[in-house]
Amino acid sequence: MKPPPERAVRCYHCSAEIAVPAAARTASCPACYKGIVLDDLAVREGAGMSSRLATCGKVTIHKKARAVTRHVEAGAGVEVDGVLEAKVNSGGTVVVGAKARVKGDFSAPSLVVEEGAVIEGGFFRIGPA
Amino acid sequence: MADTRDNTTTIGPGARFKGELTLEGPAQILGCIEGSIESNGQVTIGNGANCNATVEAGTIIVDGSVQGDLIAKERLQLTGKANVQGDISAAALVVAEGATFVGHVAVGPEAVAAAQSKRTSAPKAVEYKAATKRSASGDWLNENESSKDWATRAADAA
Ligand SMILES: [Zn+2]
Repeated sequence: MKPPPERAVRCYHCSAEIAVPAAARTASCPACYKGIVLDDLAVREGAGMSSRLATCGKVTIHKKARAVTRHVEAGAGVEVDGVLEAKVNSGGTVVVGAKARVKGDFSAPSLVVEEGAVIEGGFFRIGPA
Repeated sequence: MADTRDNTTTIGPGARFKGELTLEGPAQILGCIEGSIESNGQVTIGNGANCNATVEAGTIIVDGSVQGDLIAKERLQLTGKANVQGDISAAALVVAEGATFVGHVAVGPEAVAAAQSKRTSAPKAVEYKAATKRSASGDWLNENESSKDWATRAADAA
């Protein structure tokens, strides 16, 4: 029998690169044994507060959403069209939309800021890790 | 229409400038500059330029490498080849994918005024350092302390 297709992700707890079934939505990291989320996460509407938003996928803050969280860990990037207050560590491109408002420290391999976006201060480290 | 090349100050490739450069019109930096640049117009840091300076201008376009703070009263544009090490303050910021930078970023109508007042009252730096040290141990999300602006904290400390 053919083995199920896999994809490579980086564990946001221990940074180990691991292979997971392509269709899996969550997994347990074989390196640190912690549970990881593989799905993309979206904050769609209203205000949300949490201590952490973490996924190996992408995090999207939609235009009517306001997310206040201590940490955002996103393996595949972050897209903000609403309001985001967080310390962000992204493995993919961070896109700050024209109507977005962000506050916090950002670390990502690349950043796209559209004209009109508001950044209320924070330390940015953009470039290859 | 007037030819804009006529009044553009250019530091050409291979040229070296050290000091304060204050201009009314646009400037294009293709060589090496150390110090500060101030202009009401557009300042372009070209690819291959070596800019070790604070730049304050209406519009700043970075296509090369800058070590220093950037204050754009209207617009700051970082191309995919830009590399910036310094703090950024701009009314509007456009960053293309591929640009690299390390530093504090503030973007929006109030960001420029805050950066300019910070520059003009530089002697207050001692109070600012003390305040930074105190908030470093705290949570940056803690609104009551870390989000106070430095001037308020300096006033509190006085
Ligand atoms: Zn792990």
